Formats: sequence, C-alpha cells, structure tokens
Amino acid sequence: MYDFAVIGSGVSGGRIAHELTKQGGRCILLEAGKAYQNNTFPNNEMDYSTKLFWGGGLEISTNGSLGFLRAKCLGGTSIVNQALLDRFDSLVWDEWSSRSNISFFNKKTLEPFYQKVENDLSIQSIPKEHWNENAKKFINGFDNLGYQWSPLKRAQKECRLDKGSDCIVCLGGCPRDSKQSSLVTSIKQGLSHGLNVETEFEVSHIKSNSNSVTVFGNQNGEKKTITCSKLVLAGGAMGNSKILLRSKLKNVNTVGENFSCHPQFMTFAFFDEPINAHKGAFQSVKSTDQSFRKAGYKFENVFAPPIGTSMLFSGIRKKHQNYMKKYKHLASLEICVKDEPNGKITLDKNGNLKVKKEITQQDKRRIKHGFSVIEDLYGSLGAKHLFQSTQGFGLHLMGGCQIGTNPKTSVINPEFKLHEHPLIYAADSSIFPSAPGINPSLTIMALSEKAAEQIIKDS
Amino acid sequence: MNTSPVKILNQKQYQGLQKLGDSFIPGDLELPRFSKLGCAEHVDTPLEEMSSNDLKDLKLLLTVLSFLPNIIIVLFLYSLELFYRLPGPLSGQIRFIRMGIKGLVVSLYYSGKSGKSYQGKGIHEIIGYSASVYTGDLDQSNHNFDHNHGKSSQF
Repeated sequence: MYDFAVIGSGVSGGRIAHELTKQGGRCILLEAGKAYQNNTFPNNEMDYSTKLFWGGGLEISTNGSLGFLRAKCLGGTSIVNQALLDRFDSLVWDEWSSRSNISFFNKKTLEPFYQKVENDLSIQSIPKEHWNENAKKFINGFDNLGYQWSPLKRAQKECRLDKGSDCIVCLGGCPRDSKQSSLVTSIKQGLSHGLNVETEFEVSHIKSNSNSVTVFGNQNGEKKTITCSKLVLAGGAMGNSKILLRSKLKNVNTVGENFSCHPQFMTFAFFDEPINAHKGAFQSVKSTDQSFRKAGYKFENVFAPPIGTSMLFSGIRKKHQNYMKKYKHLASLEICVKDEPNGKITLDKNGNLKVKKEITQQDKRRIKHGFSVIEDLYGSLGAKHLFQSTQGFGLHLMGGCQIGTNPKTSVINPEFKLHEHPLIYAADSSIFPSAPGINPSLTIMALSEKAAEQIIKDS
Repeated sequence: MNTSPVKILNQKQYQGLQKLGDSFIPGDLELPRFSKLGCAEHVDTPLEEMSSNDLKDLKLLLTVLSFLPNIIIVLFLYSLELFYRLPGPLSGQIRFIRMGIKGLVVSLYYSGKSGKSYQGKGIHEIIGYSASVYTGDLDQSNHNFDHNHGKSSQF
C-alpha cells in the first residue's frame, strides 16, 4: 500500500507528488498518457496533436461551439502550454471569497506559496531584441490606441532565441527542456527522491474506505488496482469530474458543475509584408490595460502552426486555400474571455465525458467588445483584411469540483479534502469557484503547495 | 483483397477520404490537390488515437462518400459551412461533423507529410512555414533526432 497516490501529472499533480515524496512518503504518480522526453516528443503538428492530447487532439462541447485542448502525457498540460505565469489579483480573490467562503483566498495568505513556486522556477520575459514582427504589431497597435501592455512572464530558461529557436515548436513539447514543465521540474525532482511513476494508467474510478482509498484503472489493457492511505486528484476539471462521477461516492454533490474555460478567439490580420508570426518567440506580450480587465477579457499576442490556423478559418476550396497561402503574411492576436462558470460536466451512458458549455449573453458582449478593439488596433496598422474566427477554444479548463465551505454547493472543503471523504484531496484547476480571467498555472501551483502542506500535516 | 495503402481504412474508405480531401482542397497553381500530395498515406496516425465509436462512424461516412459524385461531396461541404453557425441542436450536430471532417483533412494536408510518389514542393515550403529549435549545444547522446541528425528539430 502506498502512503499517497496522485492522479494526474500536470503542474498540480507533479508538484504535490514531489513535496510528499520529499517528506519521505511512499508516493505513486499515475498518468493516463505516455511518457515522452525532450528527444522523443512527436516532431510534427499532426503527430503531437493526436498523441499528446485527449480525444486525439480535440474534445468538443455538446453543442459543438467550443473545442477543448487537454493534454494526455506525462507532465500534462505543462508540456503543451506556453508556461505563462501570472499572479491572480484582488478582483479574483474578492469574487472567489464571496463565492466559496474560503478565508485563504487573499493575497497575504497565498504570498509565501506564490513566492515558493516563483523561486523554484526560472521565470523570464522575452527581451525586446527578440520580439518578432507579430509582437511588434501588437505593441504598435496598443501604443496607437493608448492601451497598456507588458511583456509576458514565462517559465523558461535558455531558449536560445539568439540561435534561431522558434518557440512554436514547443507546443508539442520542448526539445531543449527550456520550458519549465512539471516533467523537467517537479517530477524530475520527485524521481530523485524516490517517486514512483506509472504512465498509460487510466483511472476508471475510486473507492473510499475508512482507512484507505482504492484506485481502479487500466494499464495497457490490463486491469490494475492501487491502494493508498491518501489520494490526490490532479486530473484537472474534466479528469477529476469524470473519476468522481464514475465513482458515485456517498454525499458528494455538485461534481461537474461550475465549469469554465476562458474561451479564446483568434483574429488574423492580413498584411502586404511578410510577418512570419511563427518565428522566434511567437508569444511575448499581453494586454495589461485595466479597462479590459474590468470589462472581462484580455488580449495576448499569439499565433498557431498551420493545422491550428487552418482549423480556425472558415470556408473550403479556393477561399480556404487563399487564406492559407497568406500564412506568412498573417498577424494575429487572441481575445480570452473571463467566462461565466455555467458549464456542466456529465457522463454519457457509456461513462464517457460530456461537457455542456454555452457562450452566455454576457460572454458574447465581451467577445463583441473585444473584437471591436481588435478592429481598431489592426485598422491603425493598415491591415488589408481581418478574419475573426468564431471557433472558440478552451485551454484553461476550470471548475467541476469547486472548493467551498458548504457541502451542498461545493465538492472540496477548505482543507482541500472531499467533503465527507477526508482521505481524498484536490488542489488543481478543478477546485476554482469561477474563471479568474488570468492564466491559471502559477496559482494552481501555489494552491498545490498549500495543499501539500495540509496533506503532510494530516499524515 | 484490400489494396489500401494504409492499415486502418480499406480501399473504398481510403478512396472516400481522397475524394473528401480533394473536394475540400482541390489545389491550384501553387497548392497541390489533396490526393496528389499523398498525405492520406499517413492517416493511420490520427486514426490510431480515435475512439472506436468515432472510427466506426468515420468509416461508414468514407464508404458512403466513395460512391458519391464529387459534386455532391462539394455541396455537402458547402452546406456544412453554411449551417454550422446557426443556433440550435441541429447545427450542434453539424458543427461536430464539420469539425471532425475538417480536422482530419487539414491535419493530413498541413502536417508537412506527403506520399511516397509526390515530387513537388512540400506544403510547409509553399505556405512559408518553417520552425526549429536549436539543440546544437545539448548533449548529443541524449538528443538523437533521426530526421536531422540531432542538430535541430524541424517541424
């Protein structure tokens, strides 16, 4: 029997597993996906989309209006994201305190946990000399309109942009280990302390006993069972909800509710001159204008590789081909909406995930307002034509196991434990009471540090 | 006898995929048509990760498409483009089908992979996409990229 089992190896699972192992606990980390490393990541957009993500690349909401990107590999989403790190602001803490009644949702209490994470990682901004043409368009447009912007903070080191590295490659895993994924940080450190890792282990359900938790799963076609004294759910909003819904534990309410995903919509601007937005540091700056923050959205300078870009354009045949032939003349940015947590995760009759997520009227107003800013921005730069994609994507999957003090309206209690099941914990994005409107990775790690402290105290 | 060049689709289904791809991307003076590029030869990669239910539906669709005239397939694709933005449950199904079909076609076409007999320029070269990460300073014993001798990874 293990002291601890952790399901999910992203920024929460990796970090908690490392902390528990470091304290001498016998810990096993379970990951449904395969283990890759810097020299074995799939080296092609189609290959990595199909091999590193659930659903063979994309999962779709029940009404087909949103696509969800959810990593399935050792290291989780930290392998395929852009490692953008931002602290949450008072707007989030006030809203979350009100929604959850949790007392530690404030800047002061979480400060030491933020600091610990920031000290653990190499956090950098892209220096001015490495801003590519797409970033310069973003900056010039913002300056033209008088909006505030700032460089993004990324968990990265030694990307060697001076040697021509193109960061867009790292959306399929970083061949240099420059991106500070959990694979090359917490999991690596955990392994050095004796952490056990099992990959291609898909958990089907769990059973909560009085002194232990049993995990049932499947590994390479074989049924497997693991027993542990304490279990940490770190499979994210959809993963944790799926396991809990399948497990049908007593007195666990509201699982799958309050799902949000920061829907992101990209706009492409066509210019006469080549932009080559995919070259170099393809994501360097973001909006910091408080008027956008208060209005419920933000902008990021971003681009996509060819398959991702072609998925966003509408049209077929000549129209489609003409868009894609202008690939290197495209500039782009995205609007990311602080959406209402109205989504619901359920299971179909076969036990597979169903995610109902509507874009609400408030979300639509935010998107429309953001699009009008983008039109002004690219208009001020002399863009020839704009394409605003109506296909939304959710990359920050949040909620489903909301934290709170009331067992009737929440799943996780203030000690990060499942209400009435004190041996089961969660601290990842699934516990978020609502969408923060800010990149969540750093806060997930900070909350995970706090949860690890609680688990160690309980042991 | 199955003479399909791929493992997961039979000959008829493979034919259906080629017709679907050509209806979506017929090509022009710069871009090769879908079937000419030969990218469908790599279809096993995305299909291996597909759920058994989705794969069953896809095989049925491709079989049906293999018997239809191209013009009908083109009209089918145009109708998906026309109706996917409408609200309501029916358009939800249309969005599913559209995303599934489009995802398969563009994933193959823009992957940068081509068929054994294709002689022309690669798609990435035509559209101007090239991306790599410098790995020349890393321990080469741990960095043995087959495709470019460990110097950098080309995507």
